[in-house]
Amino acid sequence: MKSYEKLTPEGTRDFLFEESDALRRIERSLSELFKEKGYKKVITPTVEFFDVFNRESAGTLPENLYSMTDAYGRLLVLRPDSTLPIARIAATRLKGAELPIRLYYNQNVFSRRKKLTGRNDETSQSGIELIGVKGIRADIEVIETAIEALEVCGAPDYKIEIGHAGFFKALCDELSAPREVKNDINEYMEQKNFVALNSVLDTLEGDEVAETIRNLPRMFGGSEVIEKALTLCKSEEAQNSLNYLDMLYKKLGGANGGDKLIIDLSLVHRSNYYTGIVFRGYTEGSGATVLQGGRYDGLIKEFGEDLPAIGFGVQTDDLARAALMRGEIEPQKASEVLVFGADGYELAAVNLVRELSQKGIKSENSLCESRDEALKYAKERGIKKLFVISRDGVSEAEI
Amino acid sequence: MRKLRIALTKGRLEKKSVELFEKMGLDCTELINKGRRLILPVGDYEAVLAKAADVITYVEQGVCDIGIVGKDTIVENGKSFYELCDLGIGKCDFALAGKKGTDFFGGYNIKRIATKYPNVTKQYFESKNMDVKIIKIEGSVELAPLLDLSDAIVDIVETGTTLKENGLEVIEKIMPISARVIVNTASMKLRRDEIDGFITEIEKAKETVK
Repeated sequence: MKSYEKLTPEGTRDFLFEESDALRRIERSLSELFKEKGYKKVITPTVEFFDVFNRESAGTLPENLYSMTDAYGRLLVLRPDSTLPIARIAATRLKGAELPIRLYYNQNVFSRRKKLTGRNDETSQSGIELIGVKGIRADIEVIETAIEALEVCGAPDYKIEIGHAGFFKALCDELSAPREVKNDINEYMEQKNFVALNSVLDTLEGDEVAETIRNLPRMFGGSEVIEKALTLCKSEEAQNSLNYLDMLYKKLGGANGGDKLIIDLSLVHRSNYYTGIVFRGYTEGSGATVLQGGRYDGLIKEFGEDLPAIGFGVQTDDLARAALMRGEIEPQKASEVLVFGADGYELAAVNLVRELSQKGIKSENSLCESRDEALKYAKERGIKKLFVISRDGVSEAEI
Repeated sequence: MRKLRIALTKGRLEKKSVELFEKMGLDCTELINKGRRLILPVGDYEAVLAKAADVITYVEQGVCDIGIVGKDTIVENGKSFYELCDLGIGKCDFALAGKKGTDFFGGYNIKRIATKYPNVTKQYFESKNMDVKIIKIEGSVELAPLLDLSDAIVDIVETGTTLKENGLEVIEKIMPISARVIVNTASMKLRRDEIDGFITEIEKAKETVK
């Protein structure tokens, strides 16, 4: 049998040096931001029961999950998403807790991606969930935090687009078409696969709602988009969603939203659990979505507690990669000082390295067997100073 | 911010795309005398020449903002991107073709179809609720029915001359094809004004080329 001991599985990767520095830096900045706003950290298990994610509303198809069984033959999966485990926590361990509950996370998620596209199956996400409160104040807090999140990640140019899950649902309800066709429309709209979308809509020729749906992909921008949509969509549900979206957009524009915020009426998420506002973020240097979120008022109820909630997740690995490409993360510097401990002073050398590092001097313990070898090593590596510890105390050697 | 990057399909669409660019008043000298270079300045834009399927990959992954590519490649490989306009160049059809005078839809045997476009073929026969065996061929698909590897082919047909010369004929047209402008989803949001500008210009140029 072929041995794969020298490779990592497709869709996974090692993070070396500045790559992991970049990722940790982004995660740290986001954690700081979330903590400042009163969010508390949770860590959920990497492995969960399949049942947590096995629901019609979940975004990941069963065939795209990494699955295994436990000792009793029960199906387990690597978590494909953090919102569902957090919904589980909210309905169980945090049952009866004072509201609102503000939680944040910083963990990896797993799902099988299309092969040969260079995308990873294991990705890192940070995000927040604001649980237990409905209404515009919560929506504003979370979207504003999403804007700040992209800001602290150092993205030079970014946009957040907002839409309303209720609007698209209302349109689909009005559409006279079989359920499978509606599912296809939903799927293609989510993937922004407008080519496939149009060919499905072609089969519904003459349907007024189908024509409105066909126009949705180009309906993004400012309040003018809402005005146009209000003339096209007559159902009460759709009108209410549009009016709410407009109000939210205007209130956010007064803060620092401004031109960073766009309304996009074609915005649909893969997960069906979203019920209200939905949003996505893009940054320069990353061709795909780096932030995704929305309001999901029915989801926690599926776990037994009727709690409204809204949240988002940020794709930290993509943002780290963009920061690296912009050259913001410097490679770790070479040591300034090499410390050599003579025989009997090995431990003293290690301690001196710690003392120097605490003073901000980057130093390294020499593993060479003699002073001359240490000197040669320092020269070769371009280390400016060699400190020798011996019976005579600490002395600086000439390099 | 880097220049707006446009991926152009090499070969069949290349000449006509250049014509359109010239009509738009863009300086195409470097694009015409490209030598072996792959990234070329075109007016205020940057052009990349690539195989059709790669144009889609580059645009989908966001390393190119705009792509000019045939509808055939879009329906075969396409996923997430905006398809903004039909350039009306490189017109042809997807068609099912087989040996002249044979009744393709007759009989109960499972038919074998040779094609460069397995996804299009699969969708087409699924829509007809018909089971078929699809055989992927990389070039000169017309050869497959002649060698009895397949009962028919699904391919793009421009004039039908190649088919006729080999004793084949169109059984059914599947869909019309022409070159389209596609745009990366993030670029569409981040650089909307520039992209709208490009689209307006190319739409204008398209009218004069016709």
